[in-house]
Parts: sequence; C-alpha cells; structure tokens
Amino acid sequence: MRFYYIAVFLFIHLRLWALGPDAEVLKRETTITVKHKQLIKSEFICIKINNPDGDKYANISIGYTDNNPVSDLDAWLEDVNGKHIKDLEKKEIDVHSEIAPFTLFEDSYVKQFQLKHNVYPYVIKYKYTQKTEDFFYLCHWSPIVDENLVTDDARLTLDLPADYKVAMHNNLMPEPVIDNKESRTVYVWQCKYDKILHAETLCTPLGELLPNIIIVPVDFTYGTPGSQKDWISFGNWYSSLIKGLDVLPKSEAEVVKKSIEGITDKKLIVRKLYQYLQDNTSYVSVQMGIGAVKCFPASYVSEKKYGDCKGLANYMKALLNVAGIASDIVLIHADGSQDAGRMINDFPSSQFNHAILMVPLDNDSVWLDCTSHINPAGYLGSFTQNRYALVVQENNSRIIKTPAFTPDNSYTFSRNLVRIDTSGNSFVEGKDVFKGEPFELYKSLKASVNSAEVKNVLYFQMPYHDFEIKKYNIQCNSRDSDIAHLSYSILVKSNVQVSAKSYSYRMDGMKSKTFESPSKRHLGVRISYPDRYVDTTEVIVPAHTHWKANKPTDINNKYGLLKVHFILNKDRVMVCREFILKNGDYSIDEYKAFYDFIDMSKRELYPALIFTKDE
Amino acid sequence: MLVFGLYAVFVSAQVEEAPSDTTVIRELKLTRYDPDTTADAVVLSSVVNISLIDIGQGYRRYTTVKQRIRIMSDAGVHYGTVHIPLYNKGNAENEVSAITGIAYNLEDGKVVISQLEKKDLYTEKVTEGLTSTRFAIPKVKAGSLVYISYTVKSNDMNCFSWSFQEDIPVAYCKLSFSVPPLLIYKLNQQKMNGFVQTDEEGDQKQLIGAYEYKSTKYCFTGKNIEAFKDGSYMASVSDYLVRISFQLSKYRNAQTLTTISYMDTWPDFTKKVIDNDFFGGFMQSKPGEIKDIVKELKLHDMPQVLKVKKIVEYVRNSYAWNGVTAPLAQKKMKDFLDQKSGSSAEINLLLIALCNEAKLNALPILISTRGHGMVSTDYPFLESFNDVICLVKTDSLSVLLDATERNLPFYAIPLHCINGYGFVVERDSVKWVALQPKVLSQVDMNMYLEFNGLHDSIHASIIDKTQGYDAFIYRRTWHLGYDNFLKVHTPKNWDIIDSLTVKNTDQPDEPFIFSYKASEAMNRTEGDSGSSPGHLSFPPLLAAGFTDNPIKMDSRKYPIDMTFKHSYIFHSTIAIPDGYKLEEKPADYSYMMKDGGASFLYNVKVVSDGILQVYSTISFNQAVFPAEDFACLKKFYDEVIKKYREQVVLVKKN
Repeated sequence: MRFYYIAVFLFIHLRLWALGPDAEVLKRETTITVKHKQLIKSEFICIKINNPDGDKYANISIGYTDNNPVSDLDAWLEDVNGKHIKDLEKKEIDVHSEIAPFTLFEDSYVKQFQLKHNVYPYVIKYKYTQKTEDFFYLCHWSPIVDENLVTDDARLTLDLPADYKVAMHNNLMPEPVIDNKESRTVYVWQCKYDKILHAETLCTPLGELLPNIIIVPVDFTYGTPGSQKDWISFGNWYSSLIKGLDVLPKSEAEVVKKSIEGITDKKLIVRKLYQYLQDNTSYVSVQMGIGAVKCFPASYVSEKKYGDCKGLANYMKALLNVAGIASDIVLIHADGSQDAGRMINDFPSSQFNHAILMVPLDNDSVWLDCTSHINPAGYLGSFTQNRYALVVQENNSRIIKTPAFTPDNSYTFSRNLVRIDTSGNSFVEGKDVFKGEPFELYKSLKASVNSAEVKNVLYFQMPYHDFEIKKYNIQCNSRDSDIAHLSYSILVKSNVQVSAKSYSYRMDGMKSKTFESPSKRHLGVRISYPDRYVDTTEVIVPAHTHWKANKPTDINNKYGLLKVHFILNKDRVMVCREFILKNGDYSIDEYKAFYDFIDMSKRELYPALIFTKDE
Repeated sequence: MLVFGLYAVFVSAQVEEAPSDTTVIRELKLTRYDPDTTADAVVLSSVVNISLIDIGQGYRRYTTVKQRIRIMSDAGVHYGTVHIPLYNKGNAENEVSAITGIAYNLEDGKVVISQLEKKDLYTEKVTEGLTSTRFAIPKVKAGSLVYISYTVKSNDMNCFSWSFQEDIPVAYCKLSFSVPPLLIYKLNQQKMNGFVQTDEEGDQKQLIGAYEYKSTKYCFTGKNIEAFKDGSYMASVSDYLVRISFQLSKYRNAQTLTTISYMDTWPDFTKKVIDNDFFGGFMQSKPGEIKDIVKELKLHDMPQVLKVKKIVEYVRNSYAWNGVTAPLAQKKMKDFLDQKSGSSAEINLLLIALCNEAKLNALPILISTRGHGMVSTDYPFLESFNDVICLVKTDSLSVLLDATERNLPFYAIPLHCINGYGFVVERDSVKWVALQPKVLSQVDMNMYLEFNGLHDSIHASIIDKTQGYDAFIYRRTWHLGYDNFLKVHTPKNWDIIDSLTVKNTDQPDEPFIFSYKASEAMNRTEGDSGSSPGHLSFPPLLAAGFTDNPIKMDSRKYPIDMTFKHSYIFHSTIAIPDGYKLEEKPADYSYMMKDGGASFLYNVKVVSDGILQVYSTISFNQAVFPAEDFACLKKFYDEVIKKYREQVVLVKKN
C-alpha cells in the first residue's frame, strides 16, 4: 500500500567537521501554492561541493508519480563566486521507474542527473515544479535535503486562498511569519539544519527529533470528497472510497458458504476463512493513481487470486460478509524495526502504509494481516504490534492500539547439551523454541525460503562464532500454532582453551545487541517490544577433570532481567541463563544506567567454565 | 544493418499452443522432483525457437520462449511473476509480443485454468534504454503449473546468446535456431556437456542460379540442468552458466555467391576501432590542446616513470569520472575538455593521448570488466568489451593505467578491471595482455598490548599500514566517513578509546596508515568465578586476527576468485604485567596449502623479561583458487583461526 504517509527520517548523531564538510546545502526554497484547486510545488536547491568526497552529492534524484509530474527542471553549475560554468542538458537527465521491492508495478519515477565539476568548491543549483489537482496533503517539509548535509538557509512559503482551511503538525520548526493580503494568506517558515543527527542502536525515531512540518487541507477531494477535521471524517472519506467493494462474486460466495457449513463458532469461521484466503491468494502489489489508496474490488482479487494489502484485507472482509461476520479495515503504519515511528494521534491525516482487518467478536477482537500466508489467524507480528491505528467504520472511525508483544509471547527458549573435546572444539546439540518476533523468522524460513538457503541464514542467525552446522530441523507444529522449533547439532570450533592444567570453555549461544558506549551515544533509547532469551545448557564435565564453581548472577531492574545460575548434576554442569530486555523509552540522561545493565549482561551471560585436570 | 539478397521466406513467429491436457494433468500430479528435492519450483520444459526473418530491409530475429514451470512450494510462488527485460538503447530495437501466461490448478480433481489478461501487463523503465515488461499470472500457488510464452523481436542478428540455466532446476530444455540459407553463424557452447546436438536441414530454401541453398536448423537438447545458486567469489555469473552464444560470421552474396566474412579479423577490428571517431578519432581530435596540456605539465628531463605518474595524476585530478564505463567515448573531446567530466573511455583515451604526446608509447587496451563476463578471443566484436584502459610500454616500463579512480596508486587499475585478458589496440597486431595487477597488496598490523591496573582489560596501541588494493579499500572507506571507517576496519568488540590518526588519505601511491588506541575487555580474569586464581589468559592477537572462517559453504563447483593476491602481517608486542610471568604460550606453527596457494606462519617468543612478541603472516599467493582446492582453502582458514584462538597464559609470581 503506498499511502502518502509521513516519512521517517533515518539519521542522527552529532558529527564534528574537523576539516569542514564535504558538501553543504546553501539554500533550500520551497513554495507551496494552492490556486484554482491546484497544488503547485516549486523547489529551488543550491548545494556547494567542497572537495572530491562531496562529489557523491552531485548526483541528484527527483521522485514523482503520474499524479504530480516534474516540469520546468533546470539545473546548472556555478563557481563559488557565482560565475556560471555549465547548464544541465536535457539528454543528461535519466528518467526511470522506481518500483519498490515486492511490488509488481507502481507509477513512481525518478528524474536523475549528475552535475560534477573538477575545480573545488563548486555550486550546483537546480529548480523544478510539480503540479497536481488530486491531493490530500500539501507537504511534509523539512529543511533537510540530504541526511548527511547541513542546510544553511531553508525557507518554506505556503501561499493559500484566505478561506482555505489547513491543519498543521509542527515538530521543532519555528513559528511562521504570516502575511494576510487581500484574498491570500502567505506563511513563511525560515530555518536551518546545522546539527546532523544519525541513527543509533534502538534510538528514539529521528522523525521525532528533526525539524519538520506536515500540512494537510482540512477539506479535499481525492477520489471522493473528504475531510481531515477529525478521525471520524477521515475514516468516512476512506469508507466511502471503498464502499461496495467488499462483495464476492456469487459463484465464490457459494463455495465459501459451503466451506463453513455447520460451523457455528465465529472464531472458527474466521480461522477457516483466513486459511482459505492464505491458500488461494498471493500478495501482488500494483500501485497506480488512486489505486495507491483505494483497493481493488473483492471481485478482482477473487478473479486474479492476488492483491496488495488493502485488496487482500478487503477481500477477506468480503469472505466474512458471506459468513455474516462484520469486520473493519484498519489503516496502520507497518514497520518491523524496533524504532518504528509513532502515530500522531491528534493530527487526522494519512499516516499509514498498510491495511489489516479487525474482526470484533463477543469477547475479543481477531486481528488479521491478510498479506501473510504463513502466520496463524489472529497473529499480529512485529510489523504491526503495539501501535496506534485507525479502524475505518462509517461515522465511527477511531484510533485503537494493537496488541503488544510481552515477554510471555515473544521469546527464545533454548536447551543445549555441550560436549567438549580435547582438541579445543565443542559439540552442541540444541533445541530452541521461538515465539513472537523470532517465531516469524523461523516460520518464514520453514515456509518461504528455499531449504538450500536456510542453512546460510542459520549461519547468520545462530549466536555462535566460527561453527559448522552438522544437522538442523525447523518445525512448526501446525498452521494454527504461533510457536516454531529449531533442533540442531553443531560443531563450534576452537572455543575451548586447552592448557596443561585445565579446559576453559567460553559459553556462547545467546544473542545480544551492541549499543554505543555512553561517551559516543547522543540519543535516548526506545525499545518497542521485549527481547527474552531463556537458555539451559548442560556441559558434560570432561573426564578426569573437576569443575571450579562459577558465581551466580541475579539482576532485575527497569531495563531488564538477568539470571545466570550454575548447578552441578553428576557429570554435568547445568547453566541456566535468562535475559529480558524490557520495552521502554529512556532519555539520554539515563543512558549510562541502561548501558551499565547491557554491559553487565554481556559479561555475565557468557561465563567461562573452568575444568581443572585432576592431579 | 546488413541487407541481404532479396528473397522471402515465411517463418512462423506465432506462439505454439499451450500444453496438452495429458501433459498438464501429469505435471500437476508431480509431487517431487527427484534430482533436486529442495527446489521451490522446477522448469519442467523450456523450449526456445530462434528464427531470422527477412523483412525487406534486413533480418529480424524472433525468439519464441515457451516454458512450463511447476511450483513446488509457497517459496516458489514468485515464479508466477515474470519480468522480461528489453534493451533499446542506441540502434537496438527489441519488442515483446504474444505474451501468454496460464496457471493450471487441480481443484477437486479438475484442472482449472486461469489466464493472464493483456491489461495486466506493465512496463517498467529500468534505466535509460532498458525496459522490463512485468506481469503476474493469476491464481499461482504451491502446486500450480505455470505456462509462459512470449516472442521477442530484435534487430540484432549479429551476436546473441541464451542461458539454459536458472536459479531453479530445468528438467528439460531445447533450443533450435533456424539459420537462413545464405548465413553462417559461429556457435560458442559453454558448460553444455551432456547436451545432444541434432542439426538438420531447415525448411527454407533459396534458389540462386542453379544452386538451391537450404536453411540450417541447429538443435540442442539438455536434461536435468541444476539450479545455479552460488554466485559468491566470482567475477561474473555469466562465465559459469550453461549457455550458448551465436555470432554471425559469414554470408553468401546472392548475386556473386561469394562468401563474405562478416566477422572481422582482429587486425580489421583494430583498424575499425582506431578509425572510429569516438576512439582513435577522439584521441587525435584536439592535438593543440593535448600539446598544451603536456607542455603545462613540464615533463622534460623527468624519468619515464615520473612522467607517467604526473600525467595520471593530472587526469585523475582534473577530470571527474561520471561512473559510466564504456569502450568508446560518448562525447566529443572538445565537450569533454570543457565539461571536465566524462566516462572511463573519455578519461582513459585522453590519458593515452597525453602519454603519447609525451612520447611514452601508450596503447589502448579494450577490456571487459568483472560482471560483464570474460572476453572470448574468438569474437572480434566491440560489444564484447565495455571499458578501455591504457598500457604504457617503453624499454624500461610496462604498466597498465587507469585514470578514473583517484584512491589507487597511479600504476594500478581499478578492481573491476581485473578480469582475464585485455585486447591491445595496435595496428597490424593481435596481442592480449593479462589484466593481472603487479601491485603488492598487504595489511601490516603492529600492536602493543598492556593490561590495565585491574587486569580486566587490555589496552592496545595499533598502527595499521596497508598497501596496494588493501590500501585502496581502506582509503575508499575512509572517504565515506569516519564512523563507517571505524565500523568496517576495527575489530567489532574493541572499544576505541582514542581517536584515529590517519596518514596518506589522499596520497594513493603511499601506504595508507592509521593508528589508534583501543581496549578489549577481558571477560573473566583474575578473581572472577570463571578463571583459575592468579591466571590471566588471552589470545595474543586479541580480536585483530582472523576470528571466523569466511567460507561457509560445504562444497564448491566453481573457482574461488578473490580478485587479487594479498597478505597480512601481524606483530604483537605484549607487556607482561608486573608480578606475573609467562606460564604457557601457543607453539610456533606454519602451514601451507598444497602447491603453495596460501601460507601461514605463527611465532611467539619471549624477547626479554616481561616482553612477549608474536609475529604472524598469512599470504594468499594466488588470486583465484580452482574449485578442487576449495576444501584445502577452507581448511587453511580453519588452521589460521584455530591458532589465533590459542591463548597466552600468565600466572602470578609466587
């Protein structure tokens, strides 16, 4: 689904310019004009390239769609004194499609060109215009042209008819200068971007930290008239856009009716029909014109047996209609990363890139992501869990939060047996159980990845260094189960230090994340869902040795839980480890405390077991 | 485009009908494909017909493709989504037509057919001159049989190829090529062992005078072509695929019946290239400006090697490479000199012109870059090449040059140019030159290690000196940014405690040197529960040495191409903390791969009371290891890593 949603910025971290920047944006001037129901965007950008390392910023790309083509593109080179060097020629502009991965086709294109010079510094200037008559947002603007470049001077001008109503969401931007003249109102924001930020491990999303402004018209026509004055109005617009599309062809409706004959439990019907969808359709995305927002009718999906997220969700809604079960389309921002951006709940507008379905039942709601052909019915994964979304219902659209992962439904349980050999290797036989985020990985490995490739993925995923997989098996008990199992036999090379007096076995086998040390960290932490690992490893005490007992660890604080216990049981040392990284938001002020916990866990989770040779 | 004799033949370019019901039912019932039970989809049949049709102004080539693909699992469903690329740049004209896509599914014992509709075809503009027709066949799921057919019409009849191998197995394939009566093609078969060739007379005839010339139909049939999956450590996948290429070599003149060679001899080819306005003509087009530049460079009385260096530096620093590799210039010399930016051809042809003006005997070398495939010495065609570099050959000097990459020593060609042999463009001569770098590539790491007061961390002072292509890789990363450089070129678990100092970032002829201080936590040392009392143990190269075998695959059928030879040298000096003495150290060790392909040396010695030194070298003495050496190479890495993990044990003095 290609909604016009709020872009997430991916950059943070203060950078010191010891030798001056490779390039800098001297000026960005954007003018947004609404005139005669037309939206006109004019852009002028001026970039100074200071040295050959800055040449990469001389590659300019301008994206557009059929709905907002680029016109009047002019670009030229100047020296630092403003002396004209050369103009961009038309033949130097490359135009090509820009189709997102996993999308069959979309009407997105890029105009690309390069303007390089060999005498530094030099200045690239370019300008262009985009016009459209179909729109439901005016701009999502920031002074940033490139995430790695400062912008010395940026100006946004918004020129509107005086009676044109807009809604704005201003994040860290200065207040505008407003000029009311005759029939027009002109807003001007002037700012700069002088501290470059880069993303850090599980940091606060950059979109929340960088200056930007979103401006939408309160009333608009896109496919059909709509309003963004509140979520109910926005939902009504979307509802009217897709009205009547959730009807199955009669022939398929008969098949569906037959397939659920005799089943009275609504939950079972939902599951049965979801599996019907999974078995009979595939995800194929085509995004053109209004099709980027409006779904294909259920009859189209029925005929082709494919569709994109909104097409499949609407088709599922149609299947449920046949069973007399009501359901609602839910618009959501899908993002699997831990640092997914938050929805701006008090700013009714399109902030979505995905559609799912909610089926309200008597006691509970069943959530269905209709693009997944492997997950069990009702499973909302890391892409959509624990976030606000818009339930679309005529005159009753509302913001709702999706269910969240907890340490009880997102974890890795591991049980291993380790044999140490005298040459310094160890053999590990293990069984892992996955739920939540790791379940999604292993389920997809089982169902969607070529079995010959799976081993390569396991080499990347398994938390060991320099090892060979001798045997492995991934199992998912049934399609309704949200648990995956991995059993394996591996040879871990040279992780046992053999000396004349002892064997020292360094424990491995648990995953951990690497965070920046406090001196290098600039941003707070956001953990959207918890990571939980529980591991029981039995290490067979090598013959003619005895184990020197390790000290246990027990820590439970606001950041997580860390337990490492050791038990000697006949010829085996049993090491029980548990680690939970709890979800939460931590400011940079408390990063040191958070990091200390991470640092401590790194040391305690991987103890060395010493087996001293008997005298 | 050549225009041949006026005759007309009819060749059907229509797509054959879809498979029969019996075939469909049999193939839908297939539950496994024994030669590859892991396959997500199998091409059960791939039939390709190539024919040439005279349209009055020359020939058009029609390639009709018909494939039946059985989807074996959910992971194979995407084989029902098809992309057909079409190249239409310059004189090339290609178009696709007669696209058919059908999915067959068994539902309740009955075959259900779903057909692709014309309105569901989309055209993507991939790049300038390259489009892709994209479509998704409806109702494709695990268990479906997919039938795809289409015809591509092309105006290129001179040189074309077909690959039988895909990333899924092909159970049966057949390619036939009907050659009209008066044309003669040269065929180049690659890795087609096991194919059956059954050539026959075609059904086209042409009567010229008393002679009747018949068409020839080449026909190749293969079975059980395995999936091609592993593309790592190779210059170009196309060098290893099962494929065939066709090259027009001769034609008979319809009036005189004389056989005329279409394919040039190499000397003819050379002549054409030298006479081309965008190659030889480009270099000679602005003699005055070339002369002036050389004059400005003041090369008099310099040794030849310095002249070369100065010219390469001048071109690199004065003309920006636009990222395009090309064998011919794409603009006039005047425009290039004005704009100061251009393709590899423009930059290197200028370099050659300047060298020759300075009496340095420079010659252009046409090459095919890595990724573009190896050049066949049988085909004197410009299309085989996609780049041009320079060879300077004097009495005292023979060196390959390229002026597009400023991070390399002046005497080194970029990594993408290291690919087999290059053709020396010299009148009345046919010579090839090996594109093997003579540059020494080396990483030399010097470390001084000492414990902190608590003995729970080791502080390391490091000086890394890199040369040749290793220096190039480091230098290039450096120019991408400080943070990225630290991430890529320092061990992962090191905490960098002092900022980096770097030398020669912009002096590519000098070693790239960087030094920094770092610490590595000793996870368990004295006093902790996991160690013997009074003992400190650690690998003496810490995490700086190799820690993980980069070769993960179990077997390999293709050579392992590392691009260039290189070596590592590690020196580590360890200060034994006061109150401690050495109890145990790794034994000295050396290991050599068979035939000396790679060698490893590891020595640890006590140089004085309290100082321990480690010296280790790893040398990869060849850039390409044959497939049969795969296991030896993997074992070589294992041996190195095992040794690097061995620990020095220090014990408290009584």
